Amino acid sequence: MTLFLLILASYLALGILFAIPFITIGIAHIDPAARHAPLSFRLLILPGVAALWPLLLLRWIRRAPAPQWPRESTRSINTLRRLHFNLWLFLGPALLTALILLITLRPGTGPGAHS
Amino acid sequence: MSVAYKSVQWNAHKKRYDLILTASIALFLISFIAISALTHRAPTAISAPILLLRATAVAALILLHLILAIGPLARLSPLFAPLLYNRRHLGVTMFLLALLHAILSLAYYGLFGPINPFSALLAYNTNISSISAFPFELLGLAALLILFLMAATSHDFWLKNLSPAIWKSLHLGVYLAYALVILHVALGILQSERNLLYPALLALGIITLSTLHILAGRRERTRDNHAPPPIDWLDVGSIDDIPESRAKTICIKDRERVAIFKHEGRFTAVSNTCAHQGGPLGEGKIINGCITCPWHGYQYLPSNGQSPPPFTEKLPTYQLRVEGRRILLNPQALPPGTDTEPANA
Repeated sequence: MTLFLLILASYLALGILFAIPFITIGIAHIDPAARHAPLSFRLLILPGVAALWPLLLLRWIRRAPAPQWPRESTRSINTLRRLHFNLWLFLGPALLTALILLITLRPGTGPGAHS
Repeated sequence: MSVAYKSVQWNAHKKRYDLILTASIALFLISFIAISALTHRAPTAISAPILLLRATAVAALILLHLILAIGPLARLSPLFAPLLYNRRHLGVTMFLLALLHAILSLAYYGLFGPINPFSALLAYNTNISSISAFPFELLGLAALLILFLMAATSHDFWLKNLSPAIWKSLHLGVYLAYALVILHVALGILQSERNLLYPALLALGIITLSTLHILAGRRERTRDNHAPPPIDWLDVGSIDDIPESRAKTICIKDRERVAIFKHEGRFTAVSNTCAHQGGPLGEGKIINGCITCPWHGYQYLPSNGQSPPPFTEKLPTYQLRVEGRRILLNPQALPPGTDTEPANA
């Protein structure tokens, strides 16, 4: 567990180290709309940059432009709509069952529990 | 809209929204603590840190339910669309409340022990086969990490730079976070709290959310199932069906939905999917000559689907013609931003 914490702390430390040059210099290279962005915006995105720094580092190295909203988005919108529906058909009953089971099976519940 | 980023694009609506939100949360926290303190007097009195810890947890849980309910509510009735407009501020506020709850828990239970509180949180309890002693804190921590990623990437900068597909997938993590939170509560406080009102309220929350999502999803599914195939010119209804400055949404089998707008007595058609977050443009209206998305206010010119300068977003457009009092639509989408001649009634 200590190793896990060490890896997590190292990842975040690297993220913060990366975030400082990224929000000052790098951001304008991957997104021209951020070139003249105020400091408050740069600080606002800092936690996300520190968390997702490998993705942004790759974009910065490749000087890749922002991906476009694909026109097959419709299909993905339709898929998303179906996904929400199907997900709740499963998620609601599953969570409700889990809740009932966890309350019913808790120690001290049932006949004679308080006797 | 994407010209130059700002931390928050404030307007009167957002300020009012945030003011009401902050006041409501402050009122809730004060009321919760006051009522709990009054109803739990010695010898069962609850200490102040525990009261604050519980108050932040309950506030975050209620907000999470509200956030998850807004989407289907807005689909079922346009009356709820104003709540959707600034939902990201609700999400970030909910994360901050959950974070405060986590910090208070960590400080109260772990700070004065001999072990590093993070190590203690992750390693001290391995009773995963026990219901009453399950390390429920880990479920809360996992949910918090998901909520952090969502809050940290809630700005439009992330939507654009992660790509909408990745951003949407990341933000679908809210359902996993919701499940983790429910289990965190059921395996945590509800194992020791004997009042059945609390599990009943939690069950009511789950049932309400499921019902809303299923009802909204079923309505959309019914519309999709009755959609005509994309052949030739489709008769999509009468010119009298569409009020001035409003739209009618048309479903076409396996295709993008189309929003047909009436503006100054003439008809134009664009994709129903907003280029920002996929909002349903057909449920919006024309404001100052622009189609305005009901979700976040993105705007497009009706004749060519382009955002007015200096903005750069574009939508596919469609050809229309009016015969008698009927509107005919060519279901083949034109490239985004293509000029079309509005159809006259």
